[in-house]
Amino acid sequence: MADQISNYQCPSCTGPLRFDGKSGRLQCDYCGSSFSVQEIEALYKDKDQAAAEAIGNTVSAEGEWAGAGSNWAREQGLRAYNCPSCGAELICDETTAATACPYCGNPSIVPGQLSDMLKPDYVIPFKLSKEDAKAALKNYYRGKKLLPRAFTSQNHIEEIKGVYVPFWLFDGTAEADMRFQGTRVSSVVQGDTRVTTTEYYDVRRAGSVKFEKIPVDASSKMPDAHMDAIEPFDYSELKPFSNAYLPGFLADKYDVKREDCYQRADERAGNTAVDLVSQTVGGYSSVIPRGSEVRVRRGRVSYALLPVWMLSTRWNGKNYLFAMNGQTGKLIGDLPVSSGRAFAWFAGLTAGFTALFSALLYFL
Amino acid sequence: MKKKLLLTLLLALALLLSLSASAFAEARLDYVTDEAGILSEEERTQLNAQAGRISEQYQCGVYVVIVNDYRSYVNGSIETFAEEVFAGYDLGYGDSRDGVMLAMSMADRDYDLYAHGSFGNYAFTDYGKGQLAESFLDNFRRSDWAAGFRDFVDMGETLIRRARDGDPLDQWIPDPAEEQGPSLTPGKLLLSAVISALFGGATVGGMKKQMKTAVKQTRAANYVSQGGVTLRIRDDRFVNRTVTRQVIRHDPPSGGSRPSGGHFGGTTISGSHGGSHHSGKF
Repeated sequence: MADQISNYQCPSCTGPLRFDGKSGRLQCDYCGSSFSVQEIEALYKDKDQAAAEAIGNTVSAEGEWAGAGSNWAREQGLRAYNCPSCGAELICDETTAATACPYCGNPSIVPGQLSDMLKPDYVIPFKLSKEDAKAALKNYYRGKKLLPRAFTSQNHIEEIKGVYVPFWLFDGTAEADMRFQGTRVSSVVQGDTRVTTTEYYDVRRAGSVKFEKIPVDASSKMPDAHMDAIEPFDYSELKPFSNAYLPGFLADKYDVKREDCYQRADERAGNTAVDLVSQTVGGYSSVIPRGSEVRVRRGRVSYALLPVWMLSTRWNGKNYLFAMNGQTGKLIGDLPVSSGRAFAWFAGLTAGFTALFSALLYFL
Repeated sequence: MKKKLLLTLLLALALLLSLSASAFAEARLDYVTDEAGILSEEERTQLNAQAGRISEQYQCGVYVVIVNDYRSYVNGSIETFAEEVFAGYDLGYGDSRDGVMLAMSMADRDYDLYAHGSFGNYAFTDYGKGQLAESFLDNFRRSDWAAGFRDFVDMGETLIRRARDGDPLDQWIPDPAEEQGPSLTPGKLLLSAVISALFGGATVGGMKKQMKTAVKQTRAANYVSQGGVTLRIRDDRFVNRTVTRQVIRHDPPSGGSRPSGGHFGGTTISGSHGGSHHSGKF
């Protein structure tokens, strides 16, 4: 039976290859050779095809997984593969598309997870390295005045992994039809009387806004807030998907269907259309919304793998998860707040402001 | 024209020969004299009658003198002009020649309110003159002359009547306790502490917000197509209009001790002929 896993090896020395974000090429750390994505694609085309077919063949007519893997793994919703390098059994989530063998460390791709109907349309390759992510996290701590001092001194990165996260990219058009009450107020003084004139207007604005590739993460393992907060990605660097971008990183196939993501994309498109149409109302002293109708016409949906560095730390028995955009370097994550520092800042600021205001009021 | 010639002649005589005011005792000037011709004869007559009635009733003259350029009559300021006319025509009532005069010069839009005599100055305090000026300046700025003079005469009557009743319109006299100068009362301290706590809380709130950056997106502005915004309907329809009128309450000045003649850029000075002025541009 053919292997279900591809292990991209250096054509010169058979050492494992990994995708290098800086050079955009596949790199062999053993002999130093590097290869373009196209070269490796051509070299491994047949092998990937065979691996993808092998995955298909392992699902029997009864829907049971055959071949490598234990019964226990199947019961847990996991999948078991054999590492083509060392033969060790790899237990993976059923969505895993790229991983590394925990025994020999070789990057492993499961082409069947990302082929045919499951093949992504696009990928944005990693540009930033693990070292970049570590430096970004260190930098992120700087200037955070409420961060407990011990968090930075005692805290260490527990895990850092580069993940190609599956995203649905939604095209569409949002139409907003909005009504407002606008008022224009003018005032003149006549003798001892102030005459204020208020004019009321019925204001209507209707328009449409076209959107391209609104991303919604399609992995249930990734927190939505983290994935949203590292946006935006630079779509000018979107590339047609190839397995050759994956070695050296983790990758999952989607496990949240596009139908389940429509609502989030629709909501974002609708809100933005309302904002943009509202901004066209001007020249009034005040504008009060009186009602709106928003409709979203859905368009094409693309499937893409986007690069994310996930960093996790642990402090005081609590996990802290950070995410960094693997393309732009934008890093986000929630930090603990020191109550003592917060109070000290509040007390200090209040005392300072009190002195300032008291000095001002003294002369009034 | 006859009146102008008379006015010019008398003032020239007064200045050049340094004659006393009594030299003009025989000359008469209407309550409302319009050398500049900005009032119709009907308007002038009505105003003249009204001013005359008030002057006689309260024994305090109310006068309006309008000229094209006061510099044609005197070498000096508009205040000098008012003083010379008042003295030259022996205006006012009683021993101290009580009265008030609004002198206007159209060339540079100068005006002067001149109060004369013990009762005149009692009735037309510095604050009162400032208020009186406010009553007509808005009309003058719109070149609504007749309405402005009517306001002057009407409010002039009010001020004279109040003075006759022993209640002249005067500036607010501050509480001596408030004149003690800079101080920090417990109330001020509490107020600054409360405001400071709000500022401090808001600043710390902003710091806390920096600590939480994993936030779901609710907008998609980054994904709007180039030229993808199209406005189909843009409709603004006028529905109705409301007009409200609110009487402006004149709060006493916070400083309290200075005259309030500065309204609308006017200035208040004390005259050298037993009178006081409030002058400016209209």
